[in-house]
Formats: sequence, structure tokens, C-alpha cells
Amino acid sequence: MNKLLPLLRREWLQYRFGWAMMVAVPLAIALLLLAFGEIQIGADDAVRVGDKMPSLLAVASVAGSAAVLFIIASFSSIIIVAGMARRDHSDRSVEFWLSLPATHSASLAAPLIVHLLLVPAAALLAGLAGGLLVSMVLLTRVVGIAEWFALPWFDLLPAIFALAARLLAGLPLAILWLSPLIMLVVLLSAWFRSWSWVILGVGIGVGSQLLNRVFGQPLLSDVTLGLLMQARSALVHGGESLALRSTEGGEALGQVPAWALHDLGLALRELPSPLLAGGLLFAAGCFYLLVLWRERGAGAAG
Amino acid sequence: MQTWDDRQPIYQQLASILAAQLLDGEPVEGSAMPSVRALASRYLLNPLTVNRALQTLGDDGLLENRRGMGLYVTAGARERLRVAERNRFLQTEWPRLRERLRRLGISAQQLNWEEH
Amino acid sequence: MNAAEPNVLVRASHLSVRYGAKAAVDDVSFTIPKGRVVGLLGHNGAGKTTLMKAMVGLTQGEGELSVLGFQPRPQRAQLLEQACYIPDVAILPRWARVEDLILLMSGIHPRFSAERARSLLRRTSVGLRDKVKTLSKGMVVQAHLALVAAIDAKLMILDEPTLGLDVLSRKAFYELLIDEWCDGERSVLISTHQVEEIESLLSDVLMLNEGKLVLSISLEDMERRFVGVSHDAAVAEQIAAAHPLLRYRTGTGPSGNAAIFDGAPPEHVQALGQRMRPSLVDLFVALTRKPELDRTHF
Repeated sequence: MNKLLPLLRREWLQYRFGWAMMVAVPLAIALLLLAFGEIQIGADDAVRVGDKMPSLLAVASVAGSAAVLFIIASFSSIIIVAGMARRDHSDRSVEFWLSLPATHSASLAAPLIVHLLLVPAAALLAGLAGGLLVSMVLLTRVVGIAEWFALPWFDLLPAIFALAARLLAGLPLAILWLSPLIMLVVLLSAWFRSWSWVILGVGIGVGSQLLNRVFGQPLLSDVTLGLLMQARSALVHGGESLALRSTEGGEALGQVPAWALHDLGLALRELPSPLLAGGLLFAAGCFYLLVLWRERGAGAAG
Repeated sequence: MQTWDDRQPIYQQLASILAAQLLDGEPVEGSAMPSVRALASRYLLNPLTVNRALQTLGDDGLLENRRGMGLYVTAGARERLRVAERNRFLQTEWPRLRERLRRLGISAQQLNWEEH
Repeated sequence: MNAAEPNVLVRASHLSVRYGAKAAVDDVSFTIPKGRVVGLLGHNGAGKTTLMKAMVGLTQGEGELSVLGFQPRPQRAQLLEQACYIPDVAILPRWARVEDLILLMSGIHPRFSAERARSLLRRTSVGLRDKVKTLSKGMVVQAHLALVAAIDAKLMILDEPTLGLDVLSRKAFYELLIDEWCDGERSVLISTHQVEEIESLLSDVLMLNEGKLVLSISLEDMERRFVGVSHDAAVAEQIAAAHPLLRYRTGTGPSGNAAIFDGAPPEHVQALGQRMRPSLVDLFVALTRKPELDRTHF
């Protein structure tokens, strides 16, 4: 599929400005607020945490930045994917894309790969990098810049990287779990454009209520909830254990890499299951229908 | 853009235009004709049409095909054209013109040869 | 390429494309050899766009259709590597810069030459850094044509490529067509409304009327087969008695009427007027006239 690369590049060419803003603006706002705003830390918390506070602040900034950018990126990707099937229809350029020698599957797969996997991953990494900057500004304001340099980087950096690696590894797994829902949204967007998410949400919500109450058939709600839970687990399986450990302070940092590996293992072990197999099959079916729809002219007029 | 009339096929009209140019010495005898592509581009014609026109000129002995080098204007082409044009004038155009002069009552002496 | 007939680029045999009960293309058969400029003529809704879409695999038809040796529908991506297609609307993506499109096409089209695209764009008033959404409709068409001309394709399928262009741009396009594409190996299929302008560029013509192919002929054969006679009003009735394809008033010149015959009319009929060359426009009107416009009686 050597045609895939230029199609991936199309996404970059079309959205690169938006992505740059998506990363730069929140970070700029955070930095400005921290540099000039008021920072209050409760006296009780400060006492309880004591000399672990700088580390905690650093971890919080990095994790916070990464989380914020990840969420923003995921949100924008969801919106784009929701309208994916018809996105070139408003300027009629769909006919241009159809006149290029790229297969229908490659043309459909490329934006999915970019927006569901590459963009959130890149946002995560950008968030980590930006978060280090944020942590520096925060620490400088609260305890002085010397403390930032005095941070236990030897423990901190591996912990940060381990967490990032865990999330990056978990992202494709989460997408696999969510694939039936995502592909159904994309398929619906062939007819309903960006309303497809709403329709899916309402459809599943109302449908499962109906099935549960009227027919005593919880299958739809069980399946949907199951997929969503598994997706969350794919990202962080045992978040509670990490939270528990981190309140104890410094030693916890050193344990993060081990925890991350263990957690990934737990997530991987969930993969072989009928729920996933059925979901992937359903997703493949939706993809196939999309290919057929595009073959038939993608609903373009004429 | 060049407009073509509806009397003759286009290739014949092009042949006439090119012949008129040959008569004016463009291109000179012994030199190469412009390529089919160049002529097609200049007159916005399909190259096949240009080929037919050149074929006609070749059949009349005005152009010759030099192997590997293209079409060249044959020696004596201008003279041959002038003779053909002269005959055509004398046989078709002149009788008509003479008839017209007679109708208007203009005699040979009244025609001014020297004026430009 | 078709091994059996290396000189035939497109072969259609009893091709039909149906939308529900209606046949947009109805039992059409023709071939396109290499080195030809073929005009696809027809009124709006005659089936030109549908036929072209079938040829590039965007719509399914019944019957046989082979383009560059490929089956258009299942082998669409491979076919489009060797052929190029411009649909009938100015459809470049509005968000893109022209140089973005050059980058994209370099990656997707194996036979696209970025250098050629850039040099062709220099001939137009379109800049490389321009965004498509800032270009006028005519400039978008020019840019699209330049991009497509940079593809080393064996077959160009152009659906009304000069729509929206002014006279100078149309002339520039025709020059481009002749300079770059008429090398005896490539063929071009053009559909257009501007029949008079394009007639001198064509080597063959396909005429569609309500989905049916009413004429498939080379211009050379057309000149031999159809005979035009311009005549005076006085002999109009005698001319009509010989059942010409079309009669009309030219309004200019000494003989104010004209008639077109399919095949040479009898000698005495020809002698009634002066032989003339039937233009493509006249034939187009004659063969695709709408039923309510019966022009043989006036």
C-alpha cells in the first residue's frame, strides 16, 4: 500500500495549522497563567506532602499537560472522524479525490489512522514535552527555579516515559475495542454527516433502554458498556494501584516503570475475547460497506 | 483564432494558406517546412489535418520528404506555384473580372497600371 | 495494454448504464484508437458524463468495456495510473495550496512530473503558493488542467474542460492539447458544448443523443459521407424532395439556404446549388435535434 503514505500526508497538509494551534494555544495559556496568575496551594496539603511537593508538582504539570492535549486532540479527531465520509462533499472536491489512482480502502483507512492513532499520540508526546516547560514555570513560581533543577530526574524521567509508553501502547488497543462504535459512526456519516455521533448515541441509549425494559434483553447495553470499559482499561488498566502508591511519595516514582509494564500486560491479556472478536468483525463489516459506498460514487451528485 | 470557411475541407484551406506563404518565399526554397506540431499549434488544428495538407502540397510537387530530416521545400516550388496561380487566374478569375469591367464600361486604357 | 490490439485504447461493446429504469447510456459500441482527439458531443443529459464515469470505473455498466486493457470498475486504481480524468466541475480541494496538490499528486500518481506541473503553471496566472479558495473559477480550471497535463497518461478523459474559461485561456488550453498530447501515441476524449471551436482539433467524433450513439466517425470519413449543398430559396422544394438530413437558413451570402445529405444526393440535386462542407455543428443539430424541433419543414 505505497499509496497510503501520500494519503496520510494529505491529512497533514489539510490540518497541520489546526493541530499546531491545538497544541500551542493551550500550552501558551497555561504558561501565561502560571507565569502571571495566582497560585494557591493549601497549607494542609503542603505539610502533608512535605518535601515531596516539587516532584508532585512536576508530575502533575507533565501529566496534566499531556492529559489536556490528549483530550483536546481526541475531541477534534472525533469530530473529524464523525464527518469523515462526507467531508469532501461541501466543496465538491470528492470528485477530485475519486479521480486519483488510490484504492477506496486506502483512501478510507488513511484518515482513520491519522486521526485516531497518530494525532492523539502526537498530542500526548507534545503534552509531555510542553508539560516539562509548564513544570518549570510552576516550580519557579512556587518554590524557585533551583528546585526544578534539583528534581529527582533520575526517577522522574523514567516514570514519565513509562507512563507515556503505557498510554501510547494502550492507544491502539483502545481503538481496537472502540472500532465497532467508531466504524458505525463513520458509516452513518455517509448519510448523516456530523450528526452521526448524536444519532449513534441516541440510538444506543434509547435502544438499550427499550431492549432492557421492554424485552428484558440487555445485550446492546452490555456490549456497548463492555467495549467502553475495555477501551479505558486498555489505556490504564489498574489506575487505582498507581494512585495508591503515588501518595506515598518518592519511592513510588521508581516503581512506575514496573507498574506500567505490568499494567500493559493486564490490558493485553484482555484482548483474546469474543467481545473483541465480534467487535472487530462488525467494524470490518462497516468498513467494507463504506468501500462499497465509495465505489458507487460516494454519493456524489451526477 | 483562425476561422475556416465552409466551402472546402479544412485541410485544403490550410494547404492554400501554406501555398500562399510559399509563394511569398516563406519558407525559402530548399529550407525546411515547420514541423507538423508547430503548424498544428499555430493554426490550432489536429496534426492529422496538418498532415493531409502537407500531403497535398507534396503531391503537387511543392514539398519533398528528406529521409530523417522532414519536409523541405523543393527547388522551383515558387515558380511552379506562380505558374499554377497564373493559370488559375487566367482561366477562372480573369474572365469574371473582364465580364465585370465590360458591364461597368471600363476600357483597357482607363485602367491605371502604374498606380500602387 | 490490450495484447490483441495494441493500437486500440478503448473498446466498448453494447455498453449500457442504467439508473433504475432509465438508461443513461443505451447500447453503445465504439473504439478509440491511439493518437486520436475524440470529441464526445451531446446535449445536457445525453449521457456524456455517465459514459465517461463508466470509463474510469466510477459507475457500473452492462456490456463490455475495456479501457487501456483494464476493466474500469474492478481495476480502477491501476487504470487511473495510466489514464487521467477531469470531471466536469472545478473541484480542487479549497483548503489546499497549489504546491500542496503538486506534492500530493507526486506521491499518488506514478506518472506525474512535479517539474512539468510547475513549468505548465508558470504559463498561467496561478501561483504555487496560492490557496485554491482564493482562485477564481477559471483559474481553478487552469490549475487543474496544468496538474493533469503533467501526468504522462496514455488516455485523457476530459469532461467539459474549458467550461468557465475565457477565450484566451481556452486558446491556451487548445495549444497545450496539441503541443503536449498529440504525439500519435496518446488519445484524448473531450466532451464539450463549444462544438465550433473544437471541431478543427478533433480527429474523430462520438455523438450521443438521449443515451444512444447516433454517430461514431472520423472527421475524414465525415467529410466524405455527408454532403452539404447551399442553394437559393427558389429550389428549396426540389432540395427537400431529396430527403436531406437537415435544412436550414444560413442567412448570409447569395444562397440563403443549406441542406445536409447523408451520402451524396443525386447529380441533378447537387447541381441546384453549391457543394459545401457540412460543419460539425450542423451535423450535431441534424442528428441530435429534439423531436419537438422538426426543422425539415419551413
